[in-house]
Amino acid sequence: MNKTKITNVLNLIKKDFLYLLISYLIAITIFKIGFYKESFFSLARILFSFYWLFVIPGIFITYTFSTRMKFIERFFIGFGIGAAIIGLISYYAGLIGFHVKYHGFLLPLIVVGVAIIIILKKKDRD
Amino acid sequence: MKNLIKKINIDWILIIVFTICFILIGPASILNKKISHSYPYNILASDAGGELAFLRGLKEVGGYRYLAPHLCAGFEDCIGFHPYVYTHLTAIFSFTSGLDAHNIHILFASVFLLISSILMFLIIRKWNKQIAYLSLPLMLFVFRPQFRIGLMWGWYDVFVASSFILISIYFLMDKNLEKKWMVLSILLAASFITHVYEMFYITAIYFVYFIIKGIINRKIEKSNLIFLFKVGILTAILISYYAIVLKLVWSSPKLFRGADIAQWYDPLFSHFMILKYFIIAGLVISPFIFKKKAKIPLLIGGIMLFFGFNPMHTSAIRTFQIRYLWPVYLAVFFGISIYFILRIIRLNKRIISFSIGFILLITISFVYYEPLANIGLINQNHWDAFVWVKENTDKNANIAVFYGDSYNQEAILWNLFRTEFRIVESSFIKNIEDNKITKFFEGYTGSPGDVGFAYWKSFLKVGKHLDEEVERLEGIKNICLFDYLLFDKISRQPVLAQYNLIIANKLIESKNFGITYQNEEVAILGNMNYNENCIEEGKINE
Repeated sequence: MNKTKITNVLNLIKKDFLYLLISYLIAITIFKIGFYKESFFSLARILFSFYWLFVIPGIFITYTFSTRMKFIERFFIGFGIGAAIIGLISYYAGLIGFHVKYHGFLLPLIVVGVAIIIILKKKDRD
Repeated sequence: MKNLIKKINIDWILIIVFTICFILIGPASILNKKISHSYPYNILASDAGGELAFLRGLKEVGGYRYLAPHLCAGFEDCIGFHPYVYTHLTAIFSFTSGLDAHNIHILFASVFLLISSILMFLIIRKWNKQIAYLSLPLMLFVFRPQFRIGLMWGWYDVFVASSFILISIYFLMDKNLEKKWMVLSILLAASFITHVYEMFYITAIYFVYFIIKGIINRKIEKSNLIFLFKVGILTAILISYYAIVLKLVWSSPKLFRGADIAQWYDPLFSHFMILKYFIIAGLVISPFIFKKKAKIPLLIGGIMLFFGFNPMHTSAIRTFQIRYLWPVYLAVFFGISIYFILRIIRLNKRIISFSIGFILLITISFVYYEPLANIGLINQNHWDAFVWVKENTDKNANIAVFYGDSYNQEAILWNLFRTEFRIVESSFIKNIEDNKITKFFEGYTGSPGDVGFAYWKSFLKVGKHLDEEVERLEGIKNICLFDYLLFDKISRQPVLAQYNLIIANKLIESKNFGITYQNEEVAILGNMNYNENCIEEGKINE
């Protein structure tokens, strides 16, 4: 992949992650409105878990087939794709004996890592 | 910052308002404005108790090659047969978020229901923004009776799988579908191992789409065939293990069965109340005003409406479970009807549709809000007793469970984390009618026995413990030989609670059992002597 394309992708990731941070803050606010009896720290950790486990891996997967998606679509499509991939890998990892308590830390890292490799190797995408 | 504000998409505003309404009338109401409870809150049915038990079991054993022994009548070799991606997702989420297992399900399923709703909004929006704005409010009906039954009664995996359906459908609207073949295969595989039927729905929608496309273009593109072939092969590989398990352990249902008869708890079209007329109007109008272009949102809505009635009576469709998501899938028809009215009065402008969508969201939330908080079937006292059993008894201990009001929702008892023998109500009633004090009670070993406690006999050969050891697992048993006995001290059926206490007191008086744990509602007796004649047979009124 040439330098220009890498720069473009990096800029896209930077922009999307700024939006991601804003969306995270908005999500905490919304959840605090609804679950006002729940502590702020607990809500922050719960929502961070959704982002870490599903949104971030999913968004990276969407970069592998599209750089033109708007953030609004990338976020929600990525959420679902992240859940599908993490769930599937976790299922098979559990079958071969890798305890599920380690999956939350490692699997998102693996998925993001693989996605980055695919992004760097890919020649073309829409 | 100014540039950032300029770039704010007004659709985000509607999504944020929708999310606030969704959270307020949905999970926040169900969970009484709090996520972390000290006991499983608002568990209303057996399946909900079962999902909790599966999650806790997975967190212990770490994987699903074999069921946790307490979920398999004490056997350690039972094949993991349940579609388990959902349980894996919740287990990972529980570890990452720090939430106890009993606080996960309703929140987790609600979030995915929210994601599914917004995905459907994005699908409609990709076609027509105004119809999307006008469609969104109907999606709040997922929390109306009886659409909310799935969420309240424990069919959580349906909502996760629905998000996979909607992403798969979204891809149909995107150019370069062929480039997404790997991701689509993953979605299909994940659907299959989350809730099998959803893979069928995705396949059916794609099948209909390509047929229609082929008819319109009067040919089938070679690239489409290659795409479908690649997706098929990769999906088959990804689901191979679970598909083989499914084939071997479940008895194959007939493809076609009799008509599904709605029970009192099932969603009906009439549950849309007055809004059903808008949906019908949208359904009738859409083929005429959009006839020139095959539209994906109409395709999904039409197919899910069709599947929700299941006129073919096929076992490949879970008729009433699709209906939990009818407010999402059919929302497009609602949006179309309002859009058509605006078009007639020449007010079909984006800002007006946005405003009406916004107002409808607030109005529906306000008018149809219901407080849904409920302690549920497991209260603090029962949960404390269950946790005590898990933490203070030997993992191979067996426990007989006497009458309890909620124990006919038997999966709740799987949360004892021990092999439990549930004494059936008829056994109590018979003994009371016969005025009998006895040590013999009839019951069965409580566990998910859907597949008869299947295990691998050899390669690709399955045996079933239930067939081979039925006498050990059910029938009339002597309570004197159990390690623990669990009694409810209070009941809505006072006679049964009194009978419980009579038996318990007799056992304590005989000094063969002692109280190992009790609280206001539950007493657990531990076996001290394993004396086969721990209780003197006799009459109640002596």
